[in-house]
Amino acid sequence: MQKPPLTRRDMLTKCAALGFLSVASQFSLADALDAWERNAQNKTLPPTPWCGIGPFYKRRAPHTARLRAPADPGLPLVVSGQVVGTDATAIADATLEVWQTDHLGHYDVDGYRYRATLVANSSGDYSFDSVMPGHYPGRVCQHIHYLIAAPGYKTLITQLYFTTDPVFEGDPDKNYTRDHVITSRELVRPVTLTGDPKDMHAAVSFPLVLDRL
Amino acid sequence: MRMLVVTVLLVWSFADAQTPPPIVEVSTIFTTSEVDDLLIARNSKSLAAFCKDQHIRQWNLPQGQLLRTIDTHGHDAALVLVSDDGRLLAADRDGTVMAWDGTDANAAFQTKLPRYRAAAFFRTSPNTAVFSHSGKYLALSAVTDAMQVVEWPSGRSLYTLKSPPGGTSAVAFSRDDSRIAVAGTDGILRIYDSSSGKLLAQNEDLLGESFAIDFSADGRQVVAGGADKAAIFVDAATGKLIRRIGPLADVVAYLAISPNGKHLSAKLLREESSALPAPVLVWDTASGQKVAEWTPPGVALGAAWSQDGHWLVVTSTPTALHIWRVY
Repeated sequence: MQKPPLTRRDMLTKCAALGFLSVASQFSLADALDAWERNAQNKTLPPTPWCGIGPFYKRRAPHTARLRAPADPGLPLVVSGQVVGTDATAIADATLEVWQTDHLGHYDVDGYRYRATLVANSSGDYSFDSVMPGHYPGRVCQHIHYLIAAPGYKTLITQLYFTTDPVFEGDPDKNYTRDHVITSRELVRPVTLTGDPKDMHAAVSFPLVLDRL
Repeated sequence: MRMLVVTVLLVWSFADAQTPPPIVEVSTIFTTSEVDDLLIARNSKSLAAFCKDQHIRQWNLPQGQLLRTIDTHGHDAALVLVSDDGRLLAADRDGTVMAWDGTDANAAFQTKLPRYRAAAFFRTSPNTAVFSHSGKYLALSAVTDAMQVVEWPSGRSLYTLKSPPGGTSAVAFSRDDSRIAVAGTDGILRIYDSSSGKLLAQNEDLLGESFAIDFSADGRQVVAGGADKAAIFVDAATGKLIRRIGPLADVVAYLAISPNGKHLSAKLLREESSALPAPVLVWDTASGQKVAEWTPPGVALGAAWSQDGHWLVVTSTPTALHIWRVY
């Protein structure tokens, strides 16, 4: 019996497994394959799903990419990504406001701890250095809030979640709805651990796609 | 000796005048199903509650007589409102709004607010919807979206007010219904003409999200507060800051001016968890002096001024609602 031909995705997955295709660390293999297929088919990107702003947004957060002080407890976390339009064009100078709890789940409402304003570079790339947020008692899952604005694009408010969140019990596909605020599985991002056990760091890629006005 | 007696009497009567009335439980309403959340009518004549058995129940106050029970048929109601004359409104998370007239269980209207996204309403923000004082209008906003002014009883949307990208977090009508004050999730207060929806003034003195807003009795001032742990008084015509009460111990979740305008009351929210009891406070509006502060035995689920000038706060236990007269 003749085998059905491999799809492009099957072929690329096989190439990756055999080491003929490698993916830069800031992308997951699935993200890279999605992008390849979209480019091949000249498709537009779906905008990043919206997710509510609350609670505790605060205006005028400081311009810094370093939310974590050197002695801060908690798992160090680097979040990075690229801000693009639905046509995959990089959005230079997009403004991102991010805010989260500390590693114990406390928001700083008196000051600006773990709050920042970032500006994407000319390639639309952004990155910030923080800690893995704790569980805020009013919410189910660990999360980081985002508010992204760029001229000519709709302002996006969303939240980043982590596949490693204990709430998902290792199965975010099945369990992400345990937090009813999570509007899409797409917002739950894989976590890469680097370093050694004495100096562990987490890294997460969170690409952002904005709709045109 | 006579002078000493007079002095003692004067001191005693002065101290007595400054002492707020004792906090007492004025009513206990026994419930057949535990209450998840509730809202008291602005004039405290009735209260409505979501119960864990997915029914909405409404009781009159202070008698505590059950007025009606509405089966939500599995809908997870996320917002409930009750008007001064006992009308009822509930919304679920997908933006479906149902409203009931009088005291029966037949819906007056049902509408879907099309702009609203999934998960639009959250129980933690009861201040995002309000009946106007005349009862002719409803201001409704999802936590994360623009505010719509809806006509009663048609359910027709009259206009939508522009909101910041994060949406609206609190709304209030002036007592003559001529103005609407809206607190945005961006911390900015906006005051509109309620007949046209035209922006009249705005204030940017709060940096954090505002969860509570009300007008003074004469409509000349707006009071608002939230994550900044303060309440600010703003000139309703110009938007200029008049004064600030705070810093307070915690986040402001609810504010209400008394019917005679002489007192401002607040319900605070513990920033670390809304499930923890937090203080309720009353100030004299003229002097800014705090005249009462009390931390209830449980989370204050609802609060309102009665028409005779008492500040009522409601807490719950698994089998009962407890109505406390705090001031």
